[in-house]
Amino acid sequence: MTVRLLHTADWQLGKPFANIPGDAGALLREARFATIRRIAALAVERRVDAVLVAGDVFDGNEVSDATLHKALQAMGGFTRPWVLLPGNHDAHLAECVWTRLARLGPPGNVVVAATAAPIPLADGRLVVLPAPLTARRTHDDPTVWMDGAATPAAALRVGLAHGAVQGRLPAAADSSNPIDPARADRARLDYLALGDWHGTLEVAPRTWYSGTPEPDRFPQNEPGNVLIVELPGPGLAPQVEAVPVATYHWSTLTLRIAPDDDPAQRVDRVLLGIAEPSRALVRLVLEGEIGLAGHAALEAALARWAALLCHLQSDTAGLTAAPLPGDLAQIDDGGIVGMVARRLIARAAEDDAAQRADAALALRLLWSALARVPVA
Amino acid sequence: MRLRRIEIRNFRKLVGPVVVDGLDNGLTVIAGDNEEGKSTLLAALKAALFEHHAVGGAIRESMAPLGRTDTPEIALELELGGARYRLRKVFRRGGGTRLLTPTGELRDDAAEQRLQELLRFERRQGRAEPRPEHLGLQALFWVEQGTTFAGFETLKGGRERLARAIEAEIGGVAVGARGQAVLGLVEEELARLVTPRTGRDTGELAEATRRARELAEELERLEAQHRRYQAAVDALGRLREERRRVVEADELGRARESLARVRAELQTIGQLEARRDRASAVAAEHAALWARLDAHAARRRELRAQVTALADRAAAAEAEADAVRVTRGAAERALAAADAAEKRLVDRQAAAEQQRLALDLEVQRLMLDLETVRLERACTEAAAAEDSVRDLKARIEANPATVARLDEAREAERQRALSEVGLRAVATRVEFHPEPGAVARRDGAPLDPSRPLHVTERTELELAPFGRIVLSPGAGELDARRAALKQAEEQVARALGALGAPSLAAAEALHGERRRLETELSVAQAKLQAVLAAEDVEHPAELRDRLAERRTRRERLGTGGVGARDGGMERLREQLAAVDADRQRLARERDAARAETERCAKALNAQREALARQESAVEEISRQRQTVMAQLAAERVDLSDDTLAQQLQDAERAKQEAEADLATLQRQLLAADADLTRERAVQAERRVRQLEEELARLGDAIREQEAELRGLGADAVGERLEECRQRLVLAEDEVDRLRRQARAWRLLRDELQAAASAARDALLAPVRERLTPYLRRLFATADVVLDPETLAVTHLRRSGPDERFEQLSLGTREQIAVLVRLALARLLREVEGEAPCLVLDDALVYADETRFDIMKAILQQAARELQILILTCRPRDYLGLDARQIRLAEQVSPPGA
Repeated sequence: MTVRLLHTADWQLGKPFANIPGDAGALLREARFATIRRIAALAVERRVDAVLVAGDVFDGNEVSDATLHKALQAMGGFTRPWVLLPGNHDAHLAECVWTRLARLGPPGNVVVAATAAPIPLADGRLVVLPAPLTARRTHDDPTVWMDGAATPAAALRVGLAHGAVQGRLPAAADSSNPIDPARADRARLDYLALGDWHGTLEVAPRTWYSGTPEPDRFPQNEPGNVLIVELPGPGLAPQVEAVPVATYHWSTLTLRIAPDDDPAQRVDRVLLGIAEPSRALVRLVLEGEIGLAGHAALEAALARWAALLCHLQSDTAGLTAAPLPGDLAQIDDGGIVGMVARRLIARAAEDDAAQRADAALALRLLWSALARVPVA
Repeated sequence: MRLRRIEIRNFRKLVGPVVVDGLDNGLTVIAGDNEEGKSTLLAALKAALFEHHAVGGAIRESMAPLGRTDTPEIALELELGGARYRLRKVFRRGGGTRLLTPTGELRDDAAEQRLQELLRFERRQGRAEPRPEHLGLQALFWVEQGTTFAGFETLKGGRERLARAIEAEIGGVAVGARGQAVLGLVEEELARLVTPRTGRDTGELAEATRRARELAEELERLEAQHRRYQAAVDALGRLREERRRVVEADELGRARESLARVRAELQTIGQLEARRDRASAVAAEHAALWARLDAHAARRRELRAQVTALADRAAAAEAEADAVRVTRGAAERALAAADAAEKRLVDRQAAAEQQRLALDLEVQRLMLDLETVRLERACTEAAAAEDSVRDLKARIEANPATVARLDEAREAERQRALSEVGLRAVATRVEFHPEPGAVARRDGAPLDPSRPLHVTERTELELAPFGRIVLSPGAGELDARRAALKQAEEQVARALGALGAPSLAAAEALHGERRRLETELSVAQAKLQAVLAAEDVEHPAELRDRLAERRTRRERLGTGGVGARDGGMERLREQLAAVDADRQRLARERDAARAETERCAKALNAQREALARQESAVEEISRQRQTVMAQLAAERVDLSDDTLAQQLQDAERAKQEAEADLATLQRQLLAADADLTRERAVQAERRVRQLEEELARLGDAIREQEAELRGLGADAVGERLEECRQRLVLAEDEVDRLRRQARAWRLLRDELQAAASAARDALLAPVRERLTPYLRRLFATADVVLDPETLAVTHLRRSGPDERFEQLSLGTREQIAVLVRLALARLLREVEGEAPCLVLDDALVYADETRFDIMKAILQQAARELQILILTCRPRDYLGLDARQIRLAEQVSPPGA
């Protein structure tokens, strides 16, 4: 009787990643298809009865046909049913990615849950109750209909939805497309497979967000997994296993630097802990105070790591770079350079934030310029 | 530095030894003629202080006297920083430098090193070309011949020291090489991002801005495209929703049901109408039957009336026929009487005609007799006229005097007369006046003495009693004129001969005869023609033929009538008139009798016809009556009058019943309102059709929208839009970063420039302060503009616009250059305690007298603080100064001294 499912969501295929400069963007785009292939292989390996994709399969309704073709190709490794749910990114509109996919003639095992109607699977042992979104944002719970959906008594009832479970997600989560946290109980669901939240999360009994299998941002949660869900029988608790499948790892690191620190050494110490730098996207938040010499050393170190990592995003908003006494001694030779440095330091302490920032940058540039001027 | 003693040996042209000793503070004028070695003295000073004793190459070679190998040697005594130094330098490899300092003597390299420290100059290395910095600050103050007014390039060498001197005085900051280098680099970096003059984006920033702008435009385009796509999706959604509503509301189904109901009502109405039509037909049949029977009864009544009326008419017609028969008898009698009267008149008319024929015959005979007589006379007249014509023609033919011939004779006579006149004009006129009794004769014939004689040829006259006289006219033309006269006379004779007349007068008479005969001929011919014309013939023969024919006709008419020739015609005419009058009267009477007869006949015929018509009418009426009676009888055989009346009554009742049925059905139909129901059916059909069309339109619109969306969706506009948006964010971040950098570089540059400018201003202020008093003496209100970098004078500022230094006169440039040096020297002296000795080699050579005097006064004043050596070839120019005068030539010691 046991039915085994692979629950995944938020593939967002076709996401351009143009905000990641250089080649990394293209790598990330392609990696999402590789991840789908990996999911197909995992589904085969775990002999699941079906793969449920809980919305946002595509990044938008106007992705290219190439993305559709590549998606179908990537799913080709698993020949049992793939149930694809329209989410807020790929809502089922009058004309949408799903109508286009239908025109392409997808394989028979690719089932688009375009309407809120039961989908029997696994020889009738399982009935999927999908709640497709027909608009990017709704304020009605699309899963309400599951409560009254009639299914055979012996069949497992599995809900498939995309939205925000009310009151169980951080306040920052989108409040549209609400889902009742008691939906699984109300609708007598054996499992409710959810999408929209990109981290893996059990938000209510028998109610899970699988998270995105391939992260697409510096996360606050735990993305990069799919869920293998075993359903022993109607009314019995499911067994859920998170399996990591991501190709790239996104992480946010914070480094606080003191004026006496060797910033290059500190940066190295933090980033050397990353196992596969070429598959790592790092947001490095730098805080503290630093001298001009230290800042120059820091920039050199960051430039080195930017080349080693797939992508390095430095956030220096919390880092103050100001001349230390040692820096000033090097700058001030009694000539105009020293005088200018002192004036810039004074400006960098003024109230006007823009002036402050310009003066601080001018000081760093003066430092870099002095390094290029031959010593008299 | 102050020089106290100079000793030179074997240095160029100063083989010497030359000793200039006892140099004091203040002004010293060292005089020497050209080529005596004034400039050499200055060169020797430079060599002693700044060239290494072991210097080689061209420098060393340039020191040696021309053509000699003697070792150059220079000894100086000088004061520096309040201390006295003695320097001796021998320029050879084995030689060296000795420097006696307050703390001891130094030799060779140590001495050279110490010199370098004291004078603060850079040692020239190897074979490098000498540059100003190799002379230290002295380069500013030791001005060689002819270069005083040149640019201030030589100042560069001592600028740093000067700057430091000024900084020492004012406590300011120098720009310094580092500052300058940093400023240059900063400007370079800034120029990579914005243009120096306009501040416009350039280089990487311009490229980033352009990229961001292009992405923004691309984004705008894609957003517009995406909006169109979204709008199309929304439109498709609305269309589908509309169709769904229409389908769910099932308006079409309800409309179709409504249509079916109305059609059922229409069917009921159709059945009623069919019944109404049938009832209408039955009513019509009954009406027709009743009408037929009614008509039948009416005809039966008519037939009966006709029988009665025809009987009445037959009796009346018979009475009228009897009356006509009476009238016809009277007419027959009148006709017989008229006919008898006419026959009588016919007989009388025939007798009158016979009489008239007899008279006509007699008239013809008489007429032919008369015509024969007239024709016989005409024949006679015609024959006489013909004879006359023939005779006249013969006589005319015999007369030769035709007009032509006569004209020819007349012309010949005219010519002859002219010739004669011409001859006479030249003839000798002889007039005779004889004495009584005297006679003149020619050829024996006496001459009329009253008539002059014209003699044209030799003429012998006999004058009795005188005797004879011979006249011989001798005019030249006489012969010719006489011949012409003769020829003319011959011509006249020939013409007259042709006419058959002896003279022209006879000829004229002959011609008159001919014309008379011709006239008579014309008369005779006219007479003949008149006779012929009277009988209307053209030829006399015709006249004769006619006469013969009339005679023949007369013979045929027989005898009688001859008596009529003597008045018989009149009598005949009277008889004829009487006969004709009788005939006319008889004809009129006969016409009247015939008319009466015809009238009686017509009257009779009319009576007869009237009787016939009447009889026919009686017969017709009788026949009609028989016919009608037969019809009536026949009809009564088929249908008796009573039966007919019964049938008519039955038919009328049936007709009324059918009409009542029809009225009932009509009322039912009116209640059903067929027109309204039909209109409702039309509306229901139209509504169904319109709903079907609406659904079809929605279907078409949906298909069109779907097709359009397929095209738009395939363009991946959403994917490209998001990508473009993200790229734009990156590009704008890059622009922001570069702008921040540009702002920072600009801030840095501005700060550096401001600091440098302040430093330079501070540097120049002390120089200007010391220069101004000197300038005021030369130019009352002038000032100079100095290059803060080189301290060179760039402009002279007087009342007008700034004047470029290079454009000033040589003299002015030279004077200003000397004044700047004086100011700098004063500055150094005031700041450092002493200044370099000022050496001017042939300076101020371009100054006018006034300026020269002013400059001398200035030099004199400056010499209170400075040691000034003036090398000149014109020492007298400097007389009057408080200066030691040294003549170079006098300082040369003999060799070996």
